[in-house]
Amino acid sequence: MSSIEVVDTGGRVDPGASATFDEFVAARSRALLRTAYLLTHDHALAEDLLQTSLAKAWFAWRRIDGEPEPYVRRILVNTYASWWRRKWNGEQPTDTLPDAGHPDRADATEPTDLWTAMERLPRRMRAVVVLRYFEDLTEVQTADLLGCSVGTVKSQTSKALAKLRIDPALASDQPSQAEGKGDPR
Amino acid sequence: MNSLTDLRRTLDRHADDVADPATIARTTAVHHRIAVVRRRRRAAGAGVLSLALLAGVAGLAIPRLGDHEVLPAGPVVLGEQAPGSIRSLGYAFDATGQSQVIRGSGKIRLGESDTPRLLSWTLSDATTARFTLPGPEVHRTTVTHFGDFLYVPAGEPGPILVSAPGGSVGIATYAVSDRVTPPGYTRDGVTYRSTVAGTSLLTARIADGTSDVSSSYVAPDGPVQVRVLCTSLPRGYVVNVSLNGQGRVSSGGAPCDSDGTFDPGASGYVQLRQGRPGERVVVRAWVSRSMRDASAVPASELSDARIGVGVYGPVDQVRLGGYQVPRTIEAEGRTWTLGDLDQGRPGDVLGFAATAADRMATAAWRSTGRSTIDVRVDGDVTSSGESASGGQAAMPGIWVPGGSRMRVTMPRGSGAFGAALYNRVD
Repeated sequence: MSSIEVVDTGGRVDPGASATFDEFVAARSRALLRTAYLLTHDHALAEDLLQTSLAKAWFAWRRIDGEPEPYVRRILVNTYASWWRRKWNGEQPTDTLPDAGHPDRADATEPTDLWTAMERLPRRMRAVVVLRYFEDLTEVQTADLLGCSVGTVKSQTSKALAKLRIDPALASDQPSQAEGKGDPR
Repeated sequence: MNSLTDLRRTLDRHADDVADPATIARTTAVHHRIAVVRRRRRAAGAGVLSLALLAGVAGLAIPRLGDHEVLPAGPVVLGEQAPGSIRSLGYAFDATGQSQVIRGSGKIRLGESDTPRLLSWTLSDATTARFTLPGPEVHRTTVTHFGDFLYVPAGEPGPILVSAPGGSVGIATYAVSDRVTPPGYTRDGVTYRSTVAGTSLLTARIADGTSDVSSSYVAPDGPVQVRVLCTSLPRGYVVNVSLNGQGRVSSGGAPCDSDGTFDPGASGYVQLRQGRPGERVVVRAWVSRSMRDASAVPASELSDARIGVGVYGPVDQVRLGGYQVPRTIEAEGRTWTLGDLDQGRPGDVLGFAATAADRMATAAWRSTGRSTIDVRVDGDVTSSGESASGGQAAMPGIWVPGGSRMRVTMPRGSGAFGAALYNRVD
């Protein structure tokens, strides 16, 4: 006689949705972790950034229309940009001195120390570089993901390449047209 | 000068350098963070309204294991491995890592919590143990090897007295985990379970940033119970409920405090009349400024508020002392079904013999004029109810320990009264 009718679609009726989220974490979090590491240049912060982003995505999981990865990647990049100011920039007293750290093994083989130079880029600029030249997103896709104009992406890219001592003339290189994976939107 | 090829090569090389040994551990860690966010949201001011008399009485649940569940490890107590997790009414309670050994007798002090907790135990050189919760609520047990649990309600429980004559009792503590979500309607970590006290969830809705939610369901062949959730309402505001625009019931101004978004399907309920079986019924819950004012407040006044409504039915009831009580209830983290019942008139003494097992009792009455009801367990008055001007009322949730007798009387008033004893199912 009784029947379950759920009118609202905002909530999670099917507990199986949790399994879908877990499957996504299992399948795609390594790729996201790589992006997080390129943004943060720190393994621990990368893991922190990724977990924070995944937790944020969980609360919106049912509302994600289509592939969740672009949505999670957007959260990850924007969390990186905002958290740097709020959280990571603060000095935290500790009882013991932190480890001095060790240079990544790849450092020694890189031309003109690009990896170190990237660390000096402002966060948003670094995000543009990672999205354009690691994720191979177009300028339009990058702008959409960062929530800014295409013009801003162009100018940020140009400035970033200049700081990395790459000929800014190359900034017009469009991965989507020349060698990229994505289609321009 | 570098090239773009150099840049891409550098990025690829460092990306390849990322080791990712444990995605399962990450899944667990992410769910832990989700749980922290939920708790923070709850702590911001959550509460479930108690709309009617039968607070805390509610249903049967079906546990569900998550597909990627990673069970936590339980502590080793008195040389015995405690379970990592215990199920209660569809929820998972995970070991907190806290354990305690009581030799002879002693006290356990649990801190304040906005969700219930469980205690489980093992015995050494003792054949029985006794737990006394403030109330007092006495639990005697011969169970050992972590074969049973004791339910500690949310809030500040006060000291729990423990005794194990001639031996020791090792106790492990368990707290609600977000690893497992019971079947039902879930939003932002709050679940209206699909089954509560033998009734089915007919519809549910939880909404943020609004003052008015509606939903609909097909009327079952029997009464329904409406269970309302609210968080962060301004002081003095009330939640109203109606079915098909009729039978408005207000919350009575109960504040939305920080207790109770956990398990809103087991919260207090209001039982309303409805249409014929098979008819579509619209249930509406809305916030107004007072009980006198039935108009919904603008949503802009409720920036952080959340309200929800769930309807359960049909309720299988039995008449008791001029009142209707359910045949199945939930209490102490378990499901109970009706066993013995007796009814009488003022002057009668309703006596119930002791049984070995613990039981839950409900006393109910219908009277004209002022009336009182006394419930005695082993001679002591443990519960006493009073109606100032008559009417119907019930006192659920009376704990009757194994080995204890119960007597119920109506020393004052005219009308009918009764008492029912429920036996544990799970």
